[in-house]
Amino acid sequence: MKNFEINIFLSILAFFAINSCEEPLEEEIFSQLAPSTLLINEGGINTVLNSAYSSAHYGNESTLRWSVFAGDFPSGACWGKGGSIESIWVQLMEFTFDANHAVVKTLWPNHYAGIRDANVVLDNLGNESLSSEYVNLTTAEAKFIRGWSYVQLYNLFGPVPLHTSGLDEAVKARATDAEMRTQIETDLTDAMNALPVSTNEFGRATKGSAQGLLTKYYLNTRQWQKAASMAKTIIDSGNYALQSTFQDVFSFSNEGHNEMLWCLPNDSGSGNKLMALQSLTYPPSYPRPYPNNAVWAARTYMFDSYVDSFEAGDERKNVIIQQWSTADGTPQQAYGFDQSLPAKFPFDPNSLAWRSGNDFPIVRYSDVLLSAAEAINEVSGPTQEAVDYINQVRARAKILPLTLANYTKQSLRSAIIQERRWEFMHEGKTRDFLLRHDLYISDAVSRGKSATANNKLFPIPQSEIDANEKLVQNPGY
Amino acid sequence: MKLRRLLSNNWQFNLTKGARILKISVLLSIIMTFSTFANSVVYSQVEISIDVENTEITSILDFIESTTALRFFYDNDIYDFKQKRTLSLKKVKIEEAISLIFEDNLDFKLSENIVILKKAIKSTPVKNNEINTDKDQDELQKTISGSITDKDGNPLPGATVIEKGTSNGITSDFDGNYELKISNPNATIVVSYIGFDDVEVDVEGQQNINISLVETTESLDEIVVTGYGTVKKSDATGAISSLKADDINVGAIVSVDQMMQGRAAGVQISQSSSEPGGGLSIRIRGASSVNASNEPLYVIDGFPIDNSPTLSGSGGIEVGIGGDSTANIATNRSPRNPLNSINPNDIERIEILKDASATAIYGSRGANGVVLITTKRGDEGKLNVNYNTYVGTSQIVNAVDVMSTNQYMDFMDDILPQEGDAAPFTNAATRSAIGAGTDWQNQIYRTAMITDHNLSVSGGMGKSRVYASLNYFEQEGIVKNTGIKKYIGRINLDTEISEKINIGFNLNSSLIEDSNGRDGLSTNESAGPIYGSLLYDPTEPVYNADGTFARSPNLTTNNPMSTLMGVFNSSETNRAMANFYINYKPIDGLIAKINLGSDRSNMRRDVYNSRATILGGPVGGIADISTLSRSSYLGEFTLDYTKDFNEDHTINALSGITYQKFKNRIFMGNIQNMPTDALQTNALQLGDTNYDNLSSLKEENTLLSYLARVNYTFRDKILFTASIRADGSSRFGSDEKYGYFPSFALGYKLTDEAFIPDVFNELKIRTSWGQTGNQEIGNYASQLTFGAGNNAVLGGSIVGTVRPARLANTALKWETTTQLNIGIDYAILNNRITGTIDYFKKNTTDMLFNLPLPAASGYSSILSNIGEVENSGIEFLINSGNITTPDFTWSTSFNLTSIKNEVKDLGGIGQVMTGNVQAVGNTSIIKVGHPIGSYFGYEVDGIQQSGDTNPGYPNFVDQTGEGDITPADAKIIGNPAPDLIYGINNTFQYKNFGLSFFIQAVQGADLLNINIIESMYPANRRRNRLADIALDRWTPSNTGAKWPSGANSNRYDGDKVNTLTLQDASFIRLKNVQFSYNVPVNDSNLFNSLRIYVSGQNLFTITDYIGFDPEANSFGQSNVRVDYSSFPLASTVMIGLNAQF
Repeated sequence: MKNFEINIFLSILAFFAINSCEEPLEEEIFSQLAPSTLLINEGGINTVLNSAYSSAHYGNESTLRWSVFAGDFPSGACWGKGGSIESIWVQLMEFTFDANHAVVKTLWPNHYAGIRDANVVLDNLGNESLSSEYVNLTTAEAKFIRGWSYVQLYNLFGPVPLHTSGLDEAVKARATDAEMRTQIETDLTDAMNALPVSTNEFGRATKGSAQGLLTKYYLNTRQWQKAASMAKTIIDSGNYALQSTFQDVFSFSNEGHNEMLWCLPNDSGSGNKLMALQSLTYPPSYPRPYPNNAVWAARTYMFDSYVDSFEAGDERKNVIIQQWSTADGTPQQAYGFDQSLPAKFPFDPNSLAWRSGNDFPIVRYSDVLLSAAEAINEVSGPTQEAVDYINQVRARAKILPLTLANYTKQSLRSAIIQERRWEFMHEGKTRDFLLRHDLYISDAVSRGKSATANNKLFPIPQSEIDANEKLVQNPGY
Repeated sequence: MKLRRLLSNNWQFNLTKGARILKISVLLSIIMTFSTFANSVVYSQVEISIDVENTEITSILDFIESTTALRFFYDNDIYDFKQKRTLSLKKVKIEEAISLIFEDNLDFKLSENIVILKKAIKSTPVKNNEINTDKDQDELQKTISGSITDKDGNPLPGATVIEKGTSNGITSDFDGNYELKISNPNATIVVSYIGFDDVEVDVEGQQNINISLVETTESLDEIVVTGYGTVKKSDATGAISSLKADDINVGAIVSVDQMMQGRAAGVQISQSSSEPGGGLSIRIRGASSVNASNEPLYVIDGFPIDNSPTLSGSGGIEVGIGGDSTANIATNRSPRNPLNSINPNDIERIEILKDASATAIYGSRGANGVVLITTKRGDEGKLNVNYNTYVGTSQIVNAVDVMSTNQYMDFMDDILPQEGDAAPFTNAATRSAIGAGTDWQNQIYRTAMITDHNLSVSGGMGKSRVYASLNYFEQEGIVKNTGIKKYIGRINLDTEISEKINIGFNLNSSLIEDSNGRDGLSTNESAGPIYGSLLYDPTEPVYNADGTFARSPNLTTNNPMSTLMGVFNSSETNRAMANFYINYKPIDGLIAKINLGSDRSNMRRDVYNSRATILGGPVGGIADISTLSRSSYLGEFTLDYTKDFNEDHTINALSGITYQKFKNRIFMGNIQNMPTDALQTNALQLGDTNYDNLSSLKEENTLLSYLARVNYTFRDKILFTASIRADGSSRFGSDEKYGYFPSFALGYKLTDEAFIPDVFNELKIRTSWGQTGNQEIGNYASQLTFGAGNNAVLGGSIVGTVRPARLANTALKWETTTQLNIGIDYAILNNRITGTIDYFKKNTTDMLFNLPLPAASGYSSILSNIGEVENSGIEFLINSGNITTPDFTWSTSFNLTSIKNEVKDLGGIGQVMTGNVQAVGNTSIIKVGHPIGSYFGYEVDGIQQSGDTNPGYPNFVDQTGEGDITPADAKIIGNPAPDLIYGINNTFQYKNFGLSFFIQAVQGADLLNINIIESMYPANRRRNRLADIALDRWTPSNTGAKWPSGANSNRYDGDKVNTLTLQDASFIRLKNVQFSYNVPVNDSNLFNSLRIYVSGQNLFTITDYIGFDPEANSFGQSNVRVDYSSFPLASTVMIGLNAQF
């Protein structure tokens, strides 16, 4: 009996010992990937490059939305009310935004996420099994994404910390203005030189994308000559053209057209690559064309003065809703109350409630044409070439061409700015062209806003200042 | 007459006689089978060896006491205890030992570990012919009889009934009945029973005297369960709160942890959601960690269970994957309570280990305290069948007042023109068409039913003892379409295989069916019915003429009834917990034990968002299924050795090795555009596969630990405990796998010291120091891994992406909590008043902290061992038997806790903002020098008046004095943790009637009310608002208003987190009242006892808080607290019955 007892006990103990003698504290990973298995071939590297693209295309709906609002609300291009978003809009409109504002909290980390992924890709292209063709193309795409991300950051915040490798220290001080510019130009130029003219995957960077971004970058940094020549390079390439009508540019059936040099592709089913500007445009009682469309509580509105500014026959005015009827036929008046609706982006027939898949343009060919005209005008005053470029855009809008003789350098500059206001309504570009012509703050002050020169840049997010002792906030915040 | 022999007598005896006794060779050892599952010692089987020469009996008894858990109680007069004996006993049972010691001249009774020595009464005194012949008729009539029961009517066999001032006495029989012949018709009888207060009754000529005894408020020699063992309460050196289920009038409770609420000092338990089956947040001695879990470890019958939250909402659990959830209307942030799978009726007792001396044996999981749950086990003897049932109804305690339809219309006509819009309700015809409108809260709430049936059987058969139970519980939520049903079965079995081997087996199997609420932290069209009921336009109807749900063209929120009826959200959880132990006693004093356990749960949650909702309609319904399989396996081997070196020194040593492995597997899938809403989640294959999402996850983690503990007792006076656990966890960096957690404790029983006044029946001071850890950080935090990123759209296709999940921290290690505790246990006035006082200081260092990184690095934070948090506080517990008479007793238990929480260091980071709420932003801050999760916002000192810049706007205080309201003017405006928490329980018993009421209170806590924010800063002007805020708004004629005008609120300065939206969440709540009656069942053959009761829960709450419940937290278990459409508190009234057969 005694032995029997011991045997039972020992056998259970042995069972227990056997179970625990494997290396018990090794942490085995099942649902995530380790660098040693992921980053050794094209397929693995591409998945990270795709993540970089996801951020470069604005990682989610709110990034896109805040990018547009940052460009249009402080510059007085539109206004809005309703919803919990209203108080955040008010801060933009009134120049009372601070370092905790949604614009800065959303955009700063998004762009740096793209930079992180681009750096991971660039850090891991040394594997000998990768073809040089692949390495060259992938390097160009990653540098494009990094350059584009830094362009955006520079535009919003001025010089920022430069991270060019995943191995960089996490805590870095701001770069100098010269370092910042060098980084942007180098990345985008390198990308331009190696990227293909076209891609069969719409949304990937092409040579034209890099050229388009460089054009806009030169323009915004008032490097007029470089801007003019880069724009003309694009025009002369013949790779891009205006769509025949203004509404074709944004129509669903026409997505992927060749007016887009750099465009953010969206899809209502993607979960994050979404557009929701319609949900902040159409009122709840507006009869929506598809039962699957939905809207939110807040509205963006255009001022009556803006509606009035259009020249007769301008087709671009047609996307603005001035009055409409509810489903039961009750007429609703928007114009007259500064509440016209910027209905530029049509409802997505495949929308999942507010989740729409409209692609969003960043650089389109009409912008290249107007950029060429603007740069030429700044370099050498009004020229026929400049006016011709503008007239291409006006012709598509079905309005009369400009005549060179009617313009001085100054008045053509104003005409281009006005043309941009019409052409790029609700695309978030107003701040840029007002800034580069020193109108951003003065316009705001003349509207009665308490804007100062410090407001040309947005504040760096407070959480970033808190986490980085080397980082100095922009003045005035 | 003093029946209970005080320990002090022993000590005096020992001290004076010590020198002589030392000469005597004594070998006395005891082996008992004990287990961590329960105080299931079979004392009758205790074996004793005694080897003494010419030793006084008192001394022999002392030695038995000092080396075993056995305690002797006797009246000094019944025997000459100074007689001397010479004995040589080897491993004899206690019965035999007593019989030899007293040479069969005394009877004894063994009850648990209590040995009651009584005068030998060889025959029943009743109907004794000898009496009849010797005494006259008068005296014959002085025979009294009756029954002795506890307050529930359970018979107390073996109770002593003695005529006061004489040695005339008797004990009650097996059914608790007694008959005693008394010498004087005006005598007083004294009734005693171990563990119960003595009762004196004046006979006054009565013949039938039934006596109900009340349990001693706190029995000093109670055994308390500790980690991997048990200890006499009087010998405990750690700070441990013990709760016996019998003492708790539980009322309608779903989970075990609710039983503890308000009853233990130092333990704050908040019902973060009052939804049936909703989670609780438990803080034992404060919040010690910023980013790791703050919930205690639960150990059920020796088995540490994985109690992390289960699936919440339709997407993701805490450990799992985020992912976009298009069904997020049903996202519910309050996860189910994992303890729902334990039947509260099965609970024997709960021990809450608080200081490091008690918790360090659990090492890396001990820092937040440990809750030891002991379930009932079978007793020796006859089979006991218990049936408990109750039925009741619940109603909302406090519907939050919103504006009535007329108030709403007046308000809109006033406010909208101020904002530049037309007044909508000026037309009388419009108003009369609307009529009474809709009371949305009335629509969604109901009177809810609650039902419980519990059947248990316990008893012993041969060498086996069994406890088995079945429980059915159903509770409807007071919000329609919510509720819980539980089916739980348990079997606890213990068997003596041989003299050396005992085995035991526990099995708990449960099925929980939840009908979940729909409200979480989401807003607008993603929000649920409670949210909707507070702000939906009251002029709108519920239904359209065609019977579909109406939807206001002015609002983008759901008609509350459409989310209530149009979202189906249910879950089903199967959980089986089993463990098995085997005790083996190879030699005297040594117990080897193997403990094996398994805990497996499978949960599936189904959410269907139908076309009735704003989100479900456009996409043709969203069907979402998530499943979680979770398991943990435990293997444990311990050695326990007890030895007395001589009469002065006792050592108990424990060592062990334990291994536990945890696994999680998750699968989630959702799809849209179902052909019809009727299918709900039952045919996902019929949805549109262009719009489906799949995700899955598997993860494991492991703990391998070594533990050791020594208890040393010197002369039952000085108590010393030291323990250490070496814990290895797979979660930490490759060089930091192991953490070492030591503790030391010293106790000193002062009771017998000359300088201690006699009023003290017990006085013990104890102090402890030790370290515990925290490893609840999720898996893989030390490694660089790549996980799923946001989708990209390339070439017209949606493509998945992979991105780095985190920066690796290979040096990641344990968070360490060092705790100092000083405590006093006391008992005064014949144990009428007992209590404890504890002071503690807990410093958590190397905190597992998500150190914020500049986002420029590509990462938001890195989990690091940085910073320090300190909790210090005082706890009081007082139990008082206020009145103890035979007919009437009144006892009170009072506990009070005050804890100060302070962040001491954040590794150079000044502050971290946290607690993000949609449309509000960050609500809270973690800042050095302040409590974790302090509210951070703006101070409002009134409303601007006519003549000020913006009449009717709140006046924000310019803290910096620079003339503008800027973010620099924000400051810490409140603390979510209370200054003081306390609980008071009063119990009255008058004859067969009992009354108890329990009050729970929290003082000095703040709570951010997001519903006030929604009213003050409505996202849509046409939303309804809380009545308090809208009706007492500033107008030029109501200048003394508390609240701003409500016009153009988005242009107010400052921000939404301010001193108007932050509220004092102090409250005093009548948590439970119970009135009971013990039906006399003396003549019944069916019942042993029968008790009926009426009980009420949450009958009233005194608070200034505007909202459903000042205790709520929409963030669930987080240290950051907000109230956002939290599930309303219910008051419940029920009737119940306990029957014992």
